[in-house]
Amino acid sequence: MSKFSSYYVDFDSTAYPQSLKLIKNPPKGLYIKGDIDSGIMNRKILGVVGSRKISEYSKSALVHLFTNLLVNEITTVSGFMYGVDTEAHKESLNRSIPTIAVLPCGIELIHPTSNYFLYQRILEQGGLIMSEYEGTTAPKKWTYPNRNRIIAGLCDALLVVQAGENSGSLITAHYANEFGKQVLTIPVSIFAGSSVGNLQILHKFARAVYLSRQINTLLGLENTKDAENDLISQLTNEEKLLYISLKDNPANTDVLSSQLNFSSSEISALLTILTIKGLIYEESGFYHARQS
Amino acid sequence: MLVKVKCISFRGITPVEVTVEVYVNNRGLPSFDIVGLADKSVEESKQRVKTAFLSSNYDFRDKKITVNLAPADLHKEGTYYDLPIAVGIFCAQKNIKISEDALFFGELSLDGSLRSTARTFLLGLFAKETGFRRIYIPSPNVTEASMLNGVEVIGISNLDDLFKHLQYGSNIATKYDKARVQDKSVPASIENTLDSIQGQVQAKRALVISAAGGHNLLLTGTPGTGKTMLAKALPEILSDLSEEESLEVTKIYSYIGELNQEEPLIKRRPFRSPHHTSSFAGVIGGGNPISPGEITKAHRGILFLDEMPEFSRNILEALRQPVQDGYINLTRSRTTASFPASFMLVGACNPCPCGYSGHPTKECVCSAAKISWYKRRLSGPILDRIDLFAKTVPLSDKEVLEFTKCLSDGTGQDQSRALVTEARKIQAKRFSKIGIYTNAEMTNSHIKHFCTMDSQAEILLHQAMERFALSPRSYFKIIKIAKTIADLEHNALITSAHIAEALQYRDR
Repeated sequence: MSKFSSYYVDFDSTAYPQSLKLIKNPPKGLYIKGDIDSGIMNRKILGVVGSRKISEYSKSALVHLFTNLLVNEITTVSGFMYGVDTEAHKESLNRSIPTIAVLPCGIELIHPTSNYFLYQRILEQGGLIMSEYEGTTAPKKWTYPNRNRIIAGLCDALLVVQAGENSGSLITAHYANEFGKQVLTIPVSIFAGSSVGNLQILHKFARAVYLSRQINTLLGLENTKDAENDLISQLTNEEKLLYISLKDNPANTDVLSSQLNFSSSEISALLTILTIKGLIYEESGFYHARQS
Repeated sequence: MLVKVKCISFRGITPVEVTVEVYVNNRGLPSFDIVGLADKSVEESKQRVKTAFLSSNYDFRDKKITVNLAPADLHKEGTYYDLPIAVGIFCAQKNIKISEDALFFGELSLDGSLRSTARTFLLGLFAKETGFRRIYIPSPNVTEASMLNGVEVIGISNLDDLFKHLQYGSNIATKYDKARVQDKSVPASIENTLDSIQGQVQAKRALVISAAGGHNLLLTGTPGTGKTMLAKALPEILSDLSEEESLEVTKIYSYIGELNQEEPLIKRRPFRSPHHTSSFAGVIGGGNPISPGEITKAHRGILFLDEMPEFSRNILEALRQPVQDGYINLTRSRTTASFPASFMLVGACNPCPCGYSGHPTKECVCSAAKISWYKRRLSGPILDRIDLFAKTVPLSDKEVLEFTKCLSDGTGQDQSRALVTEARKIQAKRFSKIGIYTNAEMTNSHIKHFCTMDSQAEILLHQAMERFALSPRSYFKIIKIAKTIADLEHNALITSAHIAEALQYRDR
């Protein structure tokens, strides 16, 4: 732990994030763990926020939108809470994207405790833990919106993955909009009660995204040439057949094996291989092809 | 005069010899005492014996009688001491000598007849193993006790017949037709076969793999997708019990008195599905006197735990030893019993408490905390012992109709059973020298020794490790399952296709 002791960055310090200086009511200083001068703040910063309870759809969408992010030019920032925040941090770490966790509590308090290992991992992979509260200050109702304003201030664009009605994610979205940041959200069904916030901000000021390259572009980055076509051309005939069939219609294994006339063992093997290649993903029994 | 009659008692499920010593004194105040750590059920023998004697026109009320059950330090319970006590009293009165190589066992009715008594199969087995030549038992149990050759089984219908036989050597007919019993083949169940389940191709395949390799299985799926039906179909694709296994299972069912008297020898694998509200003693075993629980009744068969997370934590934790070792040691302050409990564990659970997490049309109403609480109930050591994780999928009406057309995809009942039997043979041959039977029992060092895979399989496995963030534990599980899949195809080498399929059944 001694490797990552916390330090204080004053508002007037050169290490203090420039983007935060521009918002109204910026924190007087920040308690930080990890190396803030490692260049992590010089990348484009993508804020990712959302509900504590993440639906299967949002989870898949999150993974999908991270697939082709430019890992060498982007940093993510999120709120370290369980649900969307945790998934966003994890997905970043899995893809070697540095990630910043902004805490609603004192810098020394790991909250929620279930994220103990995530906390260590973020630091070990060169990320930052950040808070405007010292020591082991407990989180209070009002510390959450304060943390949200920091996230909104830090990021260049904010991705709202899944927001419920009157949720904290909406507060973050409104802050970001107020600070002049681009707010992005994921299109959802108009009947999806747990994601109605996405629709609300979509109606007011947010932009819908469904591909990671759109996020890259909106952050002002240039997309590299897509490798997907290469991958597809390398598939065997059976794999291609399955991939094309999934592109048209998501399906479960039973349906696939009867439609394509493969045995259950053949289908299982093909699905695993396509999943490893990153061309399809599973969501509670149903397989979907990734759209690039 | 003193007479000694041989009978048995039990330590756990194992019979031990007990000598019933009866001393009848013509002098002294009339009395009837039983000594030798007898339980209430033995104590009640006095009344049954006394009345049965009267009903059969015999009497001993004017005698001073002492009965000792030796060894006197062994706790004894059960109603089967009625017969040896009655025989002892009669022979002591009439000065009749009883041959040393006979065992007496049975419960009396007040009218002097003998009632059907549990555990006579164990008696027959004990007699055979220890050299007793003759056993006297109630006539309804003759079939059960005669399953083994080499012991003369004498079925008694009432006390009077027996006493005449002992006194004058009159013949007692033993009505028992061995041919009738042994030629009966096992009728196949039609209700619970793979063919009666629509769709669920992947879950069926998981069943075949788990049956072939003896892997414990967890079925997850929304309510009404056929988890219970699938589990019930599992015994049907497993081979019947071998002769040795059949004896083991019959012993257990004889002990608890649940044998069918028409067809005592159990040939089908038992399927037990205790409800999740069952008590600890009911599932694991225990109570006073210590008796076997559901896990022992599922010996050599399947223990199905529907709604597995709803079972009490104690029960789930206690399953660890039997799942690992194949037996359960129950220790109480006065006794210790060891019961066999080698079974395949099949669990079923919903994806969340409300059941609809991940359902394509119904929305789940559970909070994240509730779902994680539900999943945590199964975490840790018990999940560690489950190899295969399969999902059942909800079918739409249209799909249900479609599937009735295409059922010939290699997951049919008969093909599956044949595949499983073959794969089991291959494993038995491979492991003949190291004392295990199935792939599921392999330790990590066995895996390194027996599971060779081609280079592509290795590459795929490493990719999967990274991609799916597999733990070392699931790494070994996947190799075990891949080995079983290879065995199903009679392939000595694990290929990438086997690994790829095995990955579908990982814990996720």
